[in-house]
Amino acid sequence: MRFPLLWFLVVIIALGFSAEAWAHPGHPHPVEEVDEFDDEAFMSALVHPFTGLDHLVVMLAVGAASFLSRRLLGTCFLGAMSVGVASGFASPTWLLALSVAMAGSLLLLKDPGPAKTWQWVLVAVIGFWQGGGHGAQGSSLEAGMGLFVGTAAGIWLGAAVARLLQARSSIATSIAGASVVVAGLSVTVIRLFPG
Amino acid sequence: MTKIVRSMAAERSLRPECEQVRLLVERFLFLKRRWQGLAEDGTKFEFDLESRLKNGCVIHRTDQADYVIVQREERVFQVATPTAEQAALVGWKIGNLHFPVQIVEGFLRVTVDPMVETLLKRENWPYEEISVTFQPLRLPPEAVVPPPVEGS
Repeated sequence: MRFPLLWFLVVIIALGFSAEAWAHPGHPHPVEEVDEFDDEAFMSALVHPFTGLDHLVVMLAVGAASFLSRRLLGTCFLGAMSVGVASGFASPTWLLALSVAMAGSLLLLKDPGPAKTWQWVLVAVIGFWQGGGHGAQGSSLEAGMGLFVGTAAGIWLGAAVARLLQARSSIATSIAGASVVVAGLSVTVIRLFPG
Repeated sequence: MTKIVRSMAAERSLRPECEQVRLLVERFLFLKRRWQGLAEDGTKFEFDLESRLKNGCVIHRTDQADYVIVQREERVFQVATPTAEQAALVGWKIGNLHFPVQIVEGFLRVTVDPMVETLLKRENWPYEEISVTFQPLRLPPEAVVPPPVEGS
């Protein structure tokens, strides 16, 4: 058990440092111009959360936290993300990296019980920032729906993975959370101080 | 009274300019389905579009005039690209910053942005800042040409 977990840790951290693995890499992007006549808007928004670790890891972590706490943290995340998308707040990439670390911290609890107030708040903040990161992708109804469905699927996947991991080892999710926190914080620092 | 527009009436107006009423819009509105606009004579339009509008198209007709959509000009960098290789290189480097470009004979246009300006200065490429009706490249699905069949 120890070696697969160790490898898992190594892979997550290594991927965390790879700019190509992030949907929003560190260099600045112009605001994406969403073409509402594009038939692919729904599908491209649907898969967008799965195209980079910054969104994927957060969805999985929130799903896992929902499973561990037996509360609808995922629903809270989806609501906050929708608000973030609609708000027009453009999350800078370092904030997205920080939200990855914060999502990892949700899994660090030694004795995960029902979600506490700070966890709900944390999930809402993460969701808002992630929604801001999705930015213009949600400006059309089709794209917004795609983003919502894709993210919901990712959260469900996170809950399923947490269930599998917990069945094998009670500390597996904590180890995964710790590696996510390390990768998220490291990338946050790199993006804040690129020099 | 508000007019509701669901599609363009014609790609171009055949009437003389004095019988055309303009509705000036920003470029990004051509990408949106639902929006509102005010023509120069004060007529209000609500758009709930089934298909894309084009710059210069007629959106409404009366006995007196054609109402025509006109895209506003915007500030762009116009980069000289005398050869195809130069154009490909400039297009690739600007595309790497995720900015859309417009290709015109001998030039490449991109919206004004500090990132692009830094690139142009760093590479020492000649450019000027001008105001034009910017129409960046888009690749509609029908523009994707299948590769030629071998032997044909």
